[in-house]
Amino acid sequence: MKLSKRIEQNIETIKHELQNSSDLVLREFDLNFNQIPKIHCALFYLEAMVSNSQVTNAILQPLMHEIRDFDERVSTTFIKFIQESALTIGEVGEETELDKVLLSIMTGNVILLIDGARTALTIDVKGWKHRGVESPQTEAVIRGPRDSFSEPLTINLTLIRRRLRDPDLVFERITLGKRGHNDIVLAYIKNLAHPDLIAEVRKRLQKIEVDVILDSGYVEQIIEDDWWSPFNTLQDSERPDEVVAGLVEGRVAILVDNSPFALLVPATLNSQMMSPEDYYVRWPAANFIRIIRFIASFVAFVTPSLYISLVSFHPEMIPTQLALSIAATRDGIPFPSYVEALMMELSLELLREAGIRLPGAIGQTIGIVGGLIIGDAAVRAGIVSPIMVIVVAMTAIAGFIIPTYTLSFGLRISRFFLMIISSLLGLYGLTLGLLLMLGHLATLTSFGVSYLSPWAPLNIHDLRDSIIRSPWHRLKHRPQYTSALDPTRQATHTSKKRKAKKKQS
Amino acid sequence: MNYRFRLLIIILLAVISAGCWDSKDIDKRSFVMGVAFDLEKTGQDLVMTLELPVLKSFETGTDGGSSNTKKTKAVISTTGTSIAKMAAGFEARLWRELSFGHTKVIIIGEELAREGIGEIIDFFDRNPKVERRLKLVIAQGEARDIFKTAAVREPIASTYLYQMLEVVTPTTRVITHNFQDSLRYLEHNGDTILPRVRGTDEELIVAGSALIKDYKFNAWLGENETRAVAFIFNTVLGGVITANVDNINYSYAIRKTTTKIRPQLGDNNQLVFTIDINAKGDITEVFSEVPVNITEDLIKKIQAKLNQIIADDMHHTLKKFQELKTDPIGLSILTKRRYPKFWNQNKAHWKEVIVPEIKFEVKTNFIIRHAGILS
Repeated sequence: MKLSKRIEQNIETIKHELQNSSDLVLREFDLNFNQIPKIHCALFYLEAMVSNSQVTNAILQPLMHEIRDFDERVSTTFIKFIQESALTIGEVGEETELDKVLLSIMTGNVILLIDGARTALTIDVKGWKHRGVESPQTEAVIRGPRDSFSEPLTINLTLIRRRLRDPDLVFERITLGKRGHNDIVLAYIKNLAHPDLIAEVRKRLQKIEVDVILDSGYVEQIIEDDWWSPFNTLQDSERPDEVVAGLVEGRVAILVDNSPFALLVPATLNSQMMSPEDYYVRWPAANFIRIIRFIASFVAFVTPSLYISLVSFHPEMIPTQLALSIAATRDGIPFPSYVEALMMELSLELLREAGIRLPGAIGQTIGIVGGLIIGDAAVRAGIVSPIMVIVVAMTAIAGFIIPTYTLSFGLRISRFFLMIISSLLGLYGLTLGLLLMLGHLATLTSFGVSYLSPWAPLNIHDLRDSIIRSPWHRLKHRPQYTSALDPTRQATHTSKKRKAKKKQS
Repeated sequence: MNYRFRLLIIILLAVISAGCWDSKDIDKRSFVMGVAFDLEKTGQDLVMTLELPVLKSFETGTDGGSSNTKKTKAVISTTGTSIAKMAAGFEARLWRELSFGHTKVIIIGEELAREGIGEIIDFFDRNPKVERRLKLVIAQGEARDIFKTAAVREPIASTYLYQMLEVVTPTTRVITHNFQDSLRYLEHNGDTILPRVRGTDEELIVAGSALIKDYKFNAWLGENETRAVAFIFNTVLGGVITANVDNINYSYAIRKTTTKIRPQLGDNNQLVFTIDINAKGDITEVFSEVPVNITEDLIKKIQAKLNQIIADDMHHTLKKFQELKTDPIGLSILTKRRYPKFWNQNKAHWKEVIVPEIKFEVKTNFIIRHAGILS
């Protein structure tokens, strides 16, 4: 439906279409210009979504007081004159469709209707209250930038743009959501990210048909490759530096308005085991931490099931002294070891979840109360053995080393699967379970990239940035799993010089 | 129903119905630290004795302190004709499954060993959960008496004995072979050498060894003979040899030795074994009233004396084996490897005919690295 020429009718239509909503503001005024008769105008906007001072200073002030002369030599039509000479706002557009006008009001623009014109002006003076840029909550680092994404898309795009002044950086905006009309931005570097990858992401995004997208989690779950798996095949990050690092590797980022988590594709297990800090500290430290991280994630994954299978199936594999002391402490405990382990692991999950839900100050207390007091009391009461408390504590501590929250979820869930199969089949079961997990991981793909890359299929080039991170001067090429168009990321002259020196000598 | 879901259910059913059969919690098992076998007075039945730790005494923390006064082990015996049957009997008495996974020693009494040890070894060899690092020992006298020993720091005799045989302190007085090694020699030709143990109330004495011939105890070997065997087995990790030069005793501490044994089949099928011993060590003591100036000359003399001592021991021990027509040191294994044809021709009468005819060439090379410093 097009706008009408008569302003009264337009006002009525808009009011009617927006159900005369209580937060809708209508400001009617007249333009008193010297050369022409009085013109009736109206402003429409949503109350708390625009900056009131801007509306006053940049729209009402010039139109009502400052500008008195309409000069036909300056602009062809009156509406062009207002747009070009009167409004001191950066982004002003014209709109003739009623639907577009309505959507424009909803996104926080001010609509200026002028009597006699079929066109409405959309003036961008968005200004709502939002959370500022804060330090990351789930991916904190010690060395490295401390800013993280916030809810407004504009801020998030700024955070990326500030780090990457590449003119090839593309922010492709897609509006999704039948009712929400939420903005989603597809970010990539043109001439670097593989066009097929971009096309695939775009295709999958455009297929989304939901009411509203409240967080990037919606997008992730709708476009992921395998919804069965406990593992996520899209990487999420609240760190702009991590997203930029992904972009320059040739990956594609998806940012969702109102979500502080950006998505990165393709994502592999390897890429999610890395923390941005690995690249900021020197390589010996980075390698040390990375190796520990890989060991720790394995520990968190198998320790409880290893405990179950050793204690209830193969005690001859425990060193004698330890076996005797475990047997002694388990003596008199009414539950079999697998019940004990499942019980304790479940209460660990309980504590974790409770810690998140409880208000900050109490959250700390629940850790102490739950971990120390209940743990100690359970041992004294003879419900669990002390060695089980150690096992649970180790699992918990090692679990927190995994840098991505989403990935650690997958591992936490599969841990219970391993515990159940170990309590049925012992070490044999644990081996079977691990093989099953390995098989499953090997079948996963993320936008055509194997989830276990670079280990399976083996990519020797990419191995230099997996469990081991090579020093920067050895990372001259981008990782290959992204199929980036430009494989080189560092000048190679240093190595050429070295080779030349070698030849001379 | 979805194919994947059906598959999952089938796998789960298979796992649940097939699993758990050998699941037995650690506290529902009885760890046997040591087993002793003796011959009953009548000479018919076996006496099987177990040494079991009392779990409560291993509990640390909560009670604390009083553990010294607690009973730390239980020794129980039964008689019977088959080991499996006796083990089942023990399980009924203890209402716990016997676990041989942590068994440290199997001790066989002298009298029983004379009758044969093959039947006893079989039960443990057949059980895959038995740790192969355990020690097979021959006791002088009754084997079960060993468990009566309660040393102050090691109340459990089995672990005490095991630690001594596991070369915690380097010595040449024992054979450190474990169950697997002993089995290798026994299964080859029925001969081997096992450590000898004797117990008093407060300590165990491990010295010398027992010569097993055709799965039967044959003779005791003295300490010097045992040392020679240890050199042949290449298990010497330390120990002290005393050499007397010009009426002064010099103590030589062995730091590292390597022994190489090579068979050589000469003309007219004469088998010659070259035993090459290289040892490095230090002089740690000069037992003399006046300080002795250790010159290069003296060092050469001591080295020559050491070479002579070991070579003499070696010849003496090997001669004894030849006279007893036994091959406990695996000469047959080496011959089979090097001269399979010769071995196949002679394996039937190996111990009776070939062993007494073997010639031995012993080369010893003892090196003194340093003699210590006198300030």
